[in-house]
Amino acid sequence: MTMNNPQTLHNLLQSTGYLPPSDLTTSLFLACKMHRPLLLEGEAGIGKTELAKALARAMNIPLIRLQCYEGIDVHQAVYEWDYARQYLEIQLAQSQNKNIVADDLFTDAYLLQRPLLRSLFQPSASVLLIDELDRSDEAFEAFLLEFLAEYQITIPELGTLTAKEKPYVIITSNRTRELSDALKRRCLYQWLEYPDRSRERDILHQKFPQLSQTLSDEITSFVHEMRDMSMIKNPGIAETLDWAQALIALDAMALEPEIIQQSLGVLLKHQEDIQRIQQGDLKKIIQDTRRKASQP
Amino acid sequence: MNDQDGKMLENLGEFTRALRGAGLNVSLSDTVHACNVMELLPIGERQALKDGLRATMTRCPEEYDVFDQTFDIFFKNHDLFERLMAPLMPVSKTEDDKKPAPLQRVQQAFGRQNNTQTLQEEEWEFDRSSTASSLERLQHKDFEQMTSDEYRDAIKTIHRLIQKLPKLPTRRVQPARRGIPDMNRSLRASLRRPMAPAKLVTVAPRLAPQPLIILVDISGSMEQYARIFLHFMHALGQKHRRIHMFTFGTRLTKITGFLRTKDVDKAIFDTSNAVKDWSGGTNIGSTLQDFARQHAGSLSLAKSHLLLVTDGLERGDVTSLEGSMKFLSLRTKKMTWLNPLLRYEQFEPKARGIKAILPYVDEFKPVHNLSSLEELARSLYP
Repeated sequence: MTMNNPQTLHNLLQSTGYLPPSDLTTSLFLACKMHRPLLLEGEAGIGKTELAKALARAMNIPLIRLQCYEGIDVHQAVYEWDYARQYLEIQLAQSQNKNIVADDLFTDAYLLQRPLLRSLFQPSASVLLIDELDRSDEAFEAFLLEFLAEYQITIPELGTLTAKEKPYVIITSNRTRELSDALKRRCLYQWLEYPDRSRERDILHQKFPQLSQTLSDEITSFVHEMRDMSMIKNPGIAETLDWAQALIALDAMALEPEIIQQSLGVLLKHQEDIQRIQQGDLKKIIQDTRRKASQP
Repeated sequence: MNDQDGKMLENLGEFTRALRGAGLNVSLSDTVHACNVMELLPIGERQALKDGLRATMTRCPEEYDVFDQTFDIFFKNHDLFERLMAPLMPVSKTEDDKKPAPLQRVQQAFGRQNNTQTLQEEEWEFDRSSTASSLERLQHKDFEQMTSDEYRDAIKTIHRLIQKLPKLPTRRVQPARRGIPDMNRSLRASLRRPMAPAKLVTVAPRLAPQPLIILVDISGSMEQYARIFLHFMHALGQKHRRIHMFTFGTRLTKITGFLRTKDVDKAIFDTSNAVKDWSGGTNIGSTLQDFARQHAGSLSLAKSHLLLVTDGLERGDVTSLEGSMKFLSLRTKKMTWLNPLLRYEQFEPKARGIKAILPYVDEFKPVHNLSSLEELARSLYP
C-alpha cells in the first residue's frame, strides 16, 4: 500500500468507516513512515483501540493485539516454553531409554508464541496494538523498551530475534498512571479530544446511514450537552454509537423524555450521573438540545 | 546539503531552543526525529507541520498549549520572537528565581560543618545531637508554634520518617518457600541441574506498595500544616512510584510531578509556584467534586489509600461535600482523614463540614506535630 501524504491515509481510514481528526492522521502517517510506535492517550471510548483496527483494515494487514493488565509479564506477552509437552517428551524418552539433551527441548516446536513474538515472526507487515499499557506495571514497560526501539526480542535459549518486517505499533493508555519518559521518548505522542459536533455527526452517519438527519443532529447535541455538564464519566464516541443503536432498536423518531429515560443507561455509566439527569429538567435539556441542533 | 536544507536545520534548531526556553524537555533525538518529520510532510502545509512536530516534541496534553503558543509565535514573526519570548512563555521566567533556594541550603550546610560527625551517625532515629528534653519538646510541639530553627529540625526529621512503604500482594509471582507449585520453573530448575534430584519450585504473589492518593487543604487556616506536610509528601514521593498528590483550596492542583524532583528545595519551590490558591479561601465540596470528576476514572482508586488533610471547615453548602465523600468512600480501599483540629482535647465534631465528612472515613487522626506524623508514617504499614 502506498501512502505518500497524510491525505491518502485519511481517505484510506475513511473508507473503512473511521473518521480521524487531522492531527491524528498526521501523527499516524508519520508513525508509519518513520516506523516508530504511536502512543495514543485520551478518555475512554474515544476511538484509540478502534484506530488500530481501522489501520489494519485499511492496509489489509493482520492486527495483533496485546491486552495489558496488572501483573502481565514476559510469559503472557512474548513467549512461553510449552513445559507440559517438554515433560511429556522427557518421560517418553526415559521410557524408551533414549538420551535427551536440553537443546532438543528448547526449539521452535516447544515455543508458545505470544503477541509480541508473533508480530516479529509475521512474514509481512502487521499492526501491533498494545492496549491499555498503563494497566501493566513499570517493570513490564521497561521490558518493552528494547522491543519498541529495535523491534527485537532476546530469548536466552534462542538468542536475539529481529523482526522480518517491522510492525506498525499503536500503544494506547487511559492515563491511570503516567507512563515513563523513557517509553514516551521512543514514541510519537497523540492526545485525543472529544470530537466536535460536526465530526461526531459524520461518524454517526457513517455507522448508521438509516438514522434520520434530525435524530442524528439531536443525538450529537444531547451528547455534547452531557459533556458540557461534565459528568463523572463523560460519554465517549463509543457510547454515542451505542446509544444511537439503542434508539434505532427502540424505533425512536426523535428524542422524547420517555425514550431517553429508558435508554439512559447506555449513555451514562454512573448512578450519580443518571440521577443528575433524571432529577434535572429533562424537557429543558431536550429543548436546549433541539435549539442547538437546529443551528448549523 | 543545499542552502534550503541548511536554512531548515537552522530554523529547527532555533525552534528547539525556543521550546526548551518555554520549559519543554526536548531531547536531541527528538530534534533529529523532527527533522525527519519535516522531510516527510507535504511542503507548505502549516497545520500538518504543526501536528507532526507536536507529535515528536511533546509528551503529554499539558504541553500542547505551550507548544502551540511557541509554534504560532515562532512561525508568525520570527524576528519578534526573541523579544516576545520572555514575557509570553509561562515557564521560562521562573528559571532565575529557582537559584536562591539551593544556595541558601549550601550556606546552611557550611554553617553546620562542625556538626557533620553527628549528622552522619544518625540514620533513622531523631537528631541525637539534641538533648532528650529538647527532642521531646520538638516531638509534641504544634507546627504552628515552632520557631524557624525548630521548624527546620522538624523538616529534617520528617524526611527520615519514610523508610519502608506498606505493601500489598500483586498479580505477579516470585519464587517463595511457601506457595503454589510452578511447573514451568520446576522444569527449568531441574534442567539446570540434571544430576540433582528434581525439586518442586513454589511461587507466591510479589508485594508492591499500596497506591496512595493525598489531598491537602492549603486554605488560610491550614497553611502552616500544609507547608510542613508538603515535606512529608516529598519524602513519600521519592520512595513511592504509585502516588498521586493534589492540593486544594478554591481549586484543585496536581503536584505529583513537582514533588518527584529529588532536590527538596526546588520541589517545594516549584510546588508553591504552581499552586495559585495558597492560604486563600476554601471550598472543599466543589474541589473534591472536581477531583472525583477529573481523576476518579483515571487513577486506580479501587486499591488506593486516600489521605485527606483538611480541617473540614466548609463555609458553603455541605451537600456537594457529602456527595463527593460518599462517592470517594465507595471507590477507595481506605480513606484516612488527617485533621490538625484534633490537637484540641475538647474537640467535638460539631461543624457541618466535619459532620459531612466523618461518616465516610475509615480513620480519623491528628496531624499537628512530629509525633502525629510519625504515628501516621507507621500506620501506613498495614
